[in-house]
Amino acid sequence: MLRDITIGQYYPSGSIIHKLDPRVKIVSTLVFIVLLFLVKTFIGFALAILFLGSVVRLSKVPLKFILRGLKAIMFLLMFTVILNMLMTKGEVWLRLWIFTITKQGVYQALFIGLRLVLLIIGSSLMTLTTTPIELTDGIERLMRPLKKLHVPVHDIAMMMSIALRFIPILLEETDKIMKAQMARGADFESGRLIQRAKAMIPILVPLFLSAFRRAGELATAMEARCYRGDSGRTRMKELKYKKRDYIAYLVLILFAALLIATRHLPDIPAIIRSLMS
Amino acid sequence: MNNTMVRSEGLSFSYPVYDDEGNKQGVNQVLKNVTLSVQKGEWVAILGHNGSGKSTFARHVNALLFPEEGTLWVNGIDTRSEEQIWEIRSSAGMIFQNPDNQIIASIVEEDVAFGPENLGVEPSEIRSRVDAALSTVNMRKYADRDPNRLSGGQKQRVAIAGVLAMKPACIILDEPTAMLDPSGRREVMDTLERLNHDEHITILHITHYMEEAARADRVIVIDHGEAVLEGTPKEVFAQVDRMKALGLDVPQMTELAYDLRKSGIDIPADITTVEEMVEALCRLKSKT
Repeated sequence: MLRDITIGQYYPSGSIIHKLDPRVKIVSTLVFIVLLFLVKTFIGFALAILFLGSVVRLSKVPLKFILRGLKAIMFLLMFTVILNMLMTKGEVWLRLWIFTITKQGVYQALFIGLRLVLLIIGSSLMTLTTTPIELTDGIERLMRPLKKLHVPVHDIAMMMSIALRFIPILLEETDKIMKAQMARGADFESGRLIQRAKAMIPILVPLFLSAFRRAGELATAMEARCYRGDSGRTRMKELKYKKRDYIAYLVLILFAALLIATRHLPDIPAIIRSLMS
Repeated sequence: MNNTMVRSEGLSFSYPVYDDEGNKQGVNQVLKNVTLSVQKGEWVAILGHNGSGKSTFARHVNALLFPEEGTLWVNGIDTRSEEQIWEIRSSAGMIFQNPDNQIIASIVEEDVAFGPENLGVEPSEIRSRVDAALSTVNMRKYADRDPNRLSGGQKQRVAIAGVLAMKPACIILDEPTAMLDPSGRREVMDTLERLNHDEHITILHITHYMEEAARADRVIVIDHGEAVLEGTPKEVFAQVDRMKALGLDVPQMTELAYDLRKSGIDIPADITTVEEMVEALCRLKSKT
């Protein structure tokens, strides 16, 4: 089950996208998501698909691998698309029993669907090409200006990276506890939802206990290694923008400008229709 | 130049004990008047059964705990001098029992860099320290791996590298092999031997494996918070009756020699390894 979620997974291929500064990738992903909601025309979507497609190509991550991430949200996607198709009012195309499908509804559904698919692919591409530790480093650097507002930026980043390190350990431990309890006759698979939820309590209690014990030990170990927060701390790998990062920013700006420009283009199907009449 | 790495004089420490309602019931005297010293470059094993206070002593050396009575000097610094606490912690690095709970980063080299980063070392200097530390523990080729995918012995070696990168004069290990399999245990012990011999790092090794203690220069036995026995491994283990009375074992071969002597066979009492036993038995045979 957990294997299907590609968001948050890393796919090493050593491509130019992998080598980009994490800050570039975080900023680009955010900008891309915002732009997706500004797109209103077919040309705009074509442009966004072209852009994302070339980034995927450059990243050398197999398309199959990226599309696997969509499986997890398939239900949500279909639900949104169908609901949009049926609920939008406008020029009626088709009437079936109590359902009416309108022209605007079909367009709306198509756009929403495309938006969601592009959004998921875009954000999973970021995590697929960036290691968790680079990601937290990038976030820490991007949020650094917030330090002036007394936001504990360093602490947040440290917590995130420790959480990432302990997720697999705690998953393994959950598995161990479940097996130990199954060996003594615990039943996690049958029964109704409430019964199954109740069966989880005996897993959570020892899991929490051990998580707290681990946290205590980790804190002692960090103290023993002279950790004292942000003050006077240096980093082995300081993030530094290279030429390719500036080029990437330039490409992003060009793409954004083009995409916004498409909003002001006349609607092509409308032009064709007016030419034909 | 002072040659003492760790010196404690009349060191005492206690925990308050609470009952179920949170009322103070009394105190648990963990350390009682411990006086001992460890020379620079020495490898000292501290033995004791569970709850004897040996871990508490280790935490004092790293300034994680502070003496209640008495004084503890690490590299000439009184551990109670708060402004020098980071100097104490970097010169006396500490390795804990559970390798998982002392690795902080999710990449091996990032974890090794954690200590020097905290000390504010220059980035280029950190890089060279990390590479050197990983080479010393033979983990250089795992530099960019995920610690979760390493074996227990490898994780513990990464933890040792993390301490080495702070350039300590002394390493304190609190039962570093207790959670490892035999091959992991051997990896860690061989690493310790290299550190002590080649890098001249003082080692304070807390353990309850007698075979491991036998590799040290000196053994100190702690029982109920008191240092009760002290000497070379041979001197200490030869006192089989005394060790048993303290609830401790002696190495298998020492025990065998003890039993043989009891049945009237003339064999040295201070045998600790299989090799020595073989030699002694051969000599015995050639005599008869």
